[in-house]
Amino acid sequence: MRKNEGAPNLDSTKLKTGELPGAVNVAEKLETESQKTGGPKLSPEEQLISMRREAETKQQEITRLTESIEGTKTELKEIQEKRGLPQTDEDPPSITSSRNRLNKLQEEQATMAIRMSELHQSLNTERQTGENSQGVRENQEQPEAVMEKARIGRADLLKNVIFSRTKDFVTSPLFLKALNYIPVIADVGLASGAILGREGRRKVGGGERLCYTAALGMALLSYFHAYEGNLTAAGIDTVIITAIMTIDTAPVAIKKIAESLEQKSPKIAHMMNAVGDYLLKKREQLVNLKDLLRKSPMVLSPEGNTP
Amino acid sequence: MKQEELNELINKLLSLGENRDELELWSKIFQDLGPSEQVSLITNLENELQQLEHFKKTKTENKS
Repeated sequence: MRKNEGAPNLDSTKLKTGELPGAVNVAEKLETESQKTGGPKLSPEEQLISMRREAETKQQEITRLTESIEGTKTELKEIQEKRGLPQTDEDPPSITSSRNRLNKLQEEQATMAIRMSELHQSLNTERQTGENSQGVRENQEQPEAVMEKARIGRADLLKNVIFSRTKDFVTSPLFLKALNYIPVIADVGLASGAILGREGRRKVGGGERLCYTAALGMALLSYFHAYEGNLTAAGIDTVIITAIMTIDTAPVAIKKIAESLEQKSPKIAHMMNAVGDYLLKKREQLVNLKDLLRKSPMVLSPEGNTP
Repeated sequence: MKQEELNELINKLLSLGENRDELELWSKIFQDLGPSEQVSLITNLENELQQLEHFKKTKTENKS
């Protein structure tokens, strides 16, 4: 099977928030529907709750479709084995429609995750502007506030570095969206946690964001290299899930993969190694991240959303 | 900018309280970055240093 066959053909360079192909602006849709039915305009908090419910429904459908596709493929493989027929990794025509539906759902899920994060950030901004303006001015003058701002900028830079090392050889829209979404993934986890009353309304700090970006971004890039680019759309799902569910052990995996890439891609290997060393010192933060993501409805967890 | 100049910049930031683990990471991967990425990093660090030094100077002046 050709790499990424079955995935929509998208131009990765255009993957920016708000410009995602086939994107459904869920919040706008919710508002429009509410207005059409004469209902009241939804507040950002209500929009977040509705989006979370929709995300959970979508996730259940994704899990069901993935299991159905894999089940069909396993059955087909068994029949081919029994009859001594040559085996192929290609999707049988009978699952094309399920595969298309799965791809569409995953696209919508990724788009909704970004929209949820934007809403969460917008809520944070509203809260901040509502605070005493004098207090805000004083806070901005503190050295810690200056460092925070700079660290957030460097987290974005690190994401761009990892993204640029990936987009030249990975064309999967899902994989690239996952990478694009990384710096705000913890915000979404916290937003859903706050709605469910599991987490306080704390902000993700700049240092924390950089650590999470380094861990998730480099884990995805490393695992992709480990598979040498031979990933089907379903395989990419697995890589993303693996990266999230095993994030606390990522530093060791990243360093091992870096070792195997030393000859082939020395610059990427060197960078992976350095990030691996940095993450080895951040074990506590990685455990926190894992916990946060396992609680998030946006995690593509095969066994469900909430452990 | 050369690695030595970056390290000098980083040392100044460390003396003003920046995070050692993170800045050591940037120092290690600096040579793996492309030219525009290096410029973005340096600009970020120089801006931070400028603001932190300004804050320190103001604080000293207020004390005296």
